[in-house]
Amino acid sequence: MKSNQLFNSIFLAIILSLFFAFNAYSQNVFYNDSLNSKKHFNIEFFGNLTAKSNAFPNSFYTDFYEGGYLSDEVKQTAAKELKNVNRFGVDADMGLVFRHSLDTIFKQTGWGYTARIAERRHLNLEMTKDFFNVGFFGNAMYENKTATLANFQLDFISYQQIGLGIEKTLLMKENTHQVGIMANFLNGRNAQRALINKANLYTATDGEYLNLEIEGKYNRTDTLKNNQIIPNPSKGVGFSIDMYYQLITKENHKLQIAVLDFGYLYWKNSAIAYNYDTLFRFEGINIPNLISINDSLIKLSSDSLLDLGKRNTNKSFRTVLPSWLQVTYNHNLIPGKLALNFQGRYRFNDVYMPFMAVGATYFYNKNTSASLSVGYGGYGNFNYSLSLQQRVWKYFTVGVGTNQLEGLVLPKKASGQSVVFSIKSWF
Amino acid sequence: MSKYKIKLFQFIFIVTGILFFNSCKKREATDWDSNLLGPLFKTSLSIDQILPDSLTQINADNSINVVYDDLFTSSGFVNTQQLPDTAIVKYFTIPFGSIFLNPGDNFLDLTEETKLNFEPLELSRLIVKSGEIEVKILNKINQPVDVTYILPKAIKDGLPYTFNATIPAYNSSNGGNYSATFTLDGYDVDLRGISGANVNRLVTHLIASVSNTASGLAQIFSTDSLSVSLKLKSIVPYYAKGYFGQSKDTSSTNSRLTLFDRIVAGNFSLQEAKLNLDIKNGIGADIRAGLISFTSVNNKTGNSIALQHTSVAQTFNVHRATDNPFTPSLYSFEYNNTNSNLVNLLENMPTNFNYSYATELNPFGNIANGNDFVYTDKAIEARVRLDIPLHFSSTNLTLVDTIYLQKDTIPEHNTVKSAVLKLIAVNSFPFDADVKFYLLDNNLQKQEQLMDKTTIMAATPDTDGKVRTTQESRLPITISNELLNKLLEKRKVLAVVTINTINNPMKYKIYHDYKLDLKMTGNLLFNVQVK
Repeated sequence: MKSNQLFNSIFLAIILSLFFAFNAYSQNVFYNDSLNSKKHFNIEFFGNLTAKSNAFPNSFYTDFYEGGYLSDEVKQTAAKELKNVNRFGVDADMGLVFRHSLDTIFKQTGWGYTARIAERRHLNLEMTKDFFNVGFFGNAMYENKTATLANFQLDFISYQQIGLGIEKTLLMKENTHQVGIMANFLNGRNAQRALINKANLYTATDGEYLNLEIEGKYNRTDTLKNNQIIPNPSKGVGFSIDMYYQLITKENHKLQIAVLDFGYLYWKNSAIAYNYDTLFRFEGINIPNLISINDSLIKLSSDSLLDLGKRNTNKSFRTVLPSWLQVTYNHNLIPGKLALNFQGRYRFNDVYMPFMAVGATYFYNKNTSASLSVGYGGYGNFNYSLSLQQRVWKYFTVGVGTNQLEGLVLPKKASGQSVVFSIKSWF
Repeated sequence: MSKYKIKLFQFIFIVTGILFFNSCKKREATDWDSNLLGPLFKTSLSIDQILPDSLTQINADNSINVVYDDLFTSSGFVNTQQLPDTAIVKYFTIPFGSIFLNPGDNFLDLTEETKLNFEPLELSRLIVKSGEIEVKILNKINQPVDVTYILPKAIKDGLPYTFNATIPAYNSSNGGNYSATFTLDGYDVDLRGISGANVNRLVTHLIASVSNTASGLAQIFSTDSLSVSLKLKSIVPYYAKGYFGQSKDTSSTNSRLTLFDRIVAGNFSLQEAKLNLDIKNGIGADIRAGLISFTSVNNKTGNSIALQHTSVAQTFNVHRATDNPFTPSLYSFEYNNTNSNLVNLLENMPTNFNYSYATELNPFGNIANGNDFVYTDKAIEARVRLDIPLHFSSTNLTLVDTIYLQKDTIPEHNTVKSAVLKLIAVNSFPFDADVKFYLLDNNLQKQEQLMDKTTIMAATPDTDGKVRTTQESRLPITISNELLNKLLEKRKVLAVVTINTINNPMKYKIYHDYKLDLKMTGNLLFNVQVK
């Protein structure tokens, strides 16, 4: 009896904790969630800015991004949270989606088409504790030690997306099946990619010499006209596809499986590339004759240190997009009142870890709902999301929320922050 | 309720919008301080860098001598570098009175000798290295005249010097004037005159005839004449023979020495030094010479030390060279520790050597009976060879040098905020070196010391005096942000190095393999900036 009470208590606690839960819908815009609507047209304007790390607190990377001087206190705060492997990811997206569900076409029913334009930016970063320390505190703390700088990965891409897709809805045995595919043309704006597979830096006593073993590469698009916002010159082109399958049962179970951003960007010839594969010992700039030092210019330029490997210019490169595999399960536990959500996702070609989330949506009435979820994985560890949806006026539904609720509650200490919004209309 | 909701959502939407679009604003650069530890530069200081190769000699035992070797050449005892220009003007009247001559008829054939103005030299023979003869002729006859001018005792390739010219008629457009210049290079000229017993005499032979190009008979009157002007110009002999006369000369001069310029204080003691003076007389004339005085002068300290040696204030006779075959006469002098105070002169660290000397040509007169000779490329040579073994002790020997930091030499102000440098010195020289740096103002005056004195320790020699084990010193140098700013502003630093040999006053040899390896490392507070 006691065990039953305990089980019920735990179950209730879980249910309560998931109350209002709703998984962040920044990825949900792709799905056709208007199947129950009698309207044929749907247009949605959405935006998402989400940053998450398993180590760096918000105060650190916010200060870093905002610019200015990073005090030792700020750096130390970040250093205390460092793990052996430290990840950080940022997505900043904004776009417009149009959907038209057709009654019939060529005597066929259940077809629809979609169009989307979007501005996309993504950054992911993975570094060791030593890399952070050397980068932000210097190598002096590694005197007579070896700093392990690999594995290091940095990816940044910025591109514009324009897509066209089709959807097909089938009704079989009272269950609704829907599949959709969208093809996207990508206009690349900027990219940077650094990948260091092997890097060890040994600092001798008193800095008498440095031993650097490094194997890696760095690619970057040229920085010309980077400050221009509109129009932004095209530095690359690409292609991607999005696919999904959605099942809605008569018992109000909903299963969604999607593959998103599956494609690549090809950056043009104006890109810059460095390849490093060397074992380098630096003992200082050699002055051939101290007596004629006035004639021997000592340049403490970092160029000589950076020129460790072959440098190629005007070389194109390709970025495989970080693509999503996403599975979502949703069940209207109390129709019109409460829905449970489960989500699992993974991002390929990225430092992203498998992510699992569970949450719930509470429908206050047919015009107002709120969602709350808790998840683990991705760029960080635990994260919490909260969103509110409200129908306003006659044709619009406005949604606003965050994928990193902890960033709102503890804006300095938390290691993630996010804001998402959408304005959606059916007509 | 509905109104309230709308306002709430409007507010949330506006805030969200501001937050979202605020992220798109242009950001400023991010910077932070980082402690970078690593090597900055390295160098190696060896004798080869301190002294030029031309001044060092490596001995069999690998020890080093500083050798100053120079050759002075002079023929100044006999002034034959360029003989004075000599003009010869001859005015010839026609000896026959008023006559008519056909074209081709000779009317003048005359051999003469002319005294050249070469005194005090009494030359009997001259081989011309270079020089010219300038000829000007005025013809007062009413027809053109052919002239042949010969120097019968000026021979080249077995032939006498000869020139031929046609002088235009007096009544022609140029009034019978003729001028030309010919070279005398390579001619061997006998200056003994027609008799062969004189000196400084040039023999000339003039032949004149009515030119075959004359338009008709030439009517010559007793007043008609032919004037010939010859000028020997810029005659530089290769060889001269005769009697060069007697002359005396006393000269005083000084030589500037820069070797010790960077030493401002202290002293050193040499084990030994040697100066060899080798004189080679290539002139076929007797010379008497004497060193009146030789003084080492240090203008910085005001000290002067005179050379003490038996040769000072004494004269010596340098015998003449002999010809056929040419054989110079040789004289050598050596100044060393035992016969002079040469070492004291060098230890005075002279800025100048002041010296005076006397010379006398043919002090015994014309004892060679006019057979003095000189080849202008084989005159008097004096070879001076100063040989100083680097075997010394030093006490507070202080060297200074000014270092100008160029704009690109040191990092920009906002890059390095402060630095703790470490000088790692590996020394195989048997002396300590105290190093100090001073900041200089724009007038190169010392302002302040940049750091405390630091000492590069001496290596310890073995019992045989040779260093086989190096000595390492690690010297910290702290440069504060304030000091760095001053450095960036002034950019001029005075380096002061004071050298003391180990176990002073024991003297040690310096060997060629000795060196001072220097490496500067830095723990730099570096400001990293990311845009």
